[in-house]
Formats: sequence, C-alpha cells, structure tokens
Amino acid sequence: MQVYPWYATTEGDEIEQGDFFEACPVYIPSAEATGHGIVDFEWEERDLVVLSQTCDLVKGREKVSEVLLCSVWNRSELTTGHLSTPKGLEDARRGNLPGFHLLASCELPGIKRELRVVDFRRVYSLPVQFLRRKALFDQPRLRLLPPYREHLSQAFARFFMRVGLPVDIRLD
Amino acid sequence: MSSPEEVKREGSQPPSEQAAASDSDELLDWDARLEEAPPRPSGKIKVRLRYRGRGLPIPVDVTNGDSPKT
Repeated sequence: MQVYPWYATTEGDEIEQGDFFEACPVYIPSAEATGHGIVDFEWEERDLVVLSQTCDLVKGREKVSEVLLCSVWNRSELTTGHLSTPKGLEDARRGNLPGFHLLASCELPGIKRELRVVDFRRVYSLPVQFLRRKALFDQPRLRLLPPYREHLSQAFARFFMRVGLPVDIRLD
Repeated sequence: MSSPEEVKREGSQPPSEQAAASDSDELLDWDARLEEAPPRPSGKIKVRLRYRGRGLPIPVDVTNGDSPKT
C-alpha cells in the first residue's frame, strides 16, 4: 500500500509553500505609526505556514519581496468556542468552516506536533530575506507535503475568493 | 459550449439531489472565526521610521523564463 506522509523535515534557507515557521514574530504597527519618527510596534509570536506559491520564492529568482503566511494554532490552544469541541474540529475537517483548515498531527522523530488548525483570517506578510535568515536558525523545519499542501492552498483560495450576494434568489 | 441536451440535464436535477445540495450548503459557516487569538508571547518595541521613498515593483525578467503563467 502506498504511503502518503503529511510532513517532511527540511534544512537550509529554501522556502516553499507549506513550510512552517514556528515561534516566529509578527509585527503590528500601532494606529499612530503612519508617519515619521519613533513609533510603537507590537510583536506577537505565531506559528505560521507559508501560503505564497513556491515558484515565487525560488532563491535568487524571487518574484515577491514578502511572503504570505497564515497563523496555525495547536488543538490544545483552542480552549473556547466551536473549535474547542470535537464537533467543531469535525466541521473543520469536513471543510464546513471555510475560514479554517485542519492539519493532521505530526509523528516524525524529534518533531511531534498535535492536530493543528490554520486560521485563514489571520494572515501576515514577512520579508523573504527575514524568513531565509530565520530558516537557517530553525533547523530542521517542518514542511507540509503534497497533496496536503495543495489542499491547504485550495482551501485558502476558496475562503479568500468568497462572494456574498447582497440579495439572494427567491424560489417562490 | 454545452449542447441543448446537456443544458437540459443540468437543469433537470432530481428534487432529492437539489435538497442534498441545499442541505450541505447550509452546513457551511463562512462567518466562523476566533474572536481572540490564543495567548502567545508578545511585546512592544519602539521603531524609528525613516522614509526611503516609494517601493518599486520587482522587474519581470522575460529572458529568464519568467512569465505570468507561474
């Protein structure tokens, strides 16, 4: 029987869609940080997964200067709300909560991770060179493998391209 | 382009299938969201902003195999 592993480990500073950057700082400017001078920025630690296309991130031939990333939460961190319940996780697994995407646990030696939830409403961008540098410190790193990577990407696209109709169609 | 027969087939979905599609659509909760992010280490830093002019787009190198289709 063919085995389709969810994850692999990687080293070096090549970045692909589906790569994880754990305990990565994201920076949020304060509302006043719109001009010059000294301003406050908040930073928050996040586990992130890369959503930018791999072909845009080829080293030396980058087609983007910032990488698009999404927050990833451990199941144990979700202690309130629908996602803290088995029903909520099942809804996420079935794709009934388009703002979220469920990732399987990881059992690779030395890199064990519990079930995780990607939060499509919390997206960030970080400079490519910043992430390449961080990648060199985070070794080995975790990488989501095909077809789970494409499944994640498709789920994000589906959520992002949603269209709400102002007036629905009456059938009577 | 669909032939008239194909169009007719698509439009004449049995009532049971229409109901199933409708039910599954009702299951989607597009508005579900985490009100508050789970607590993680955080902090505040002071940043000095220096204006360096507008950013420029990354030039497209068509001779290097770059194309919009990637």
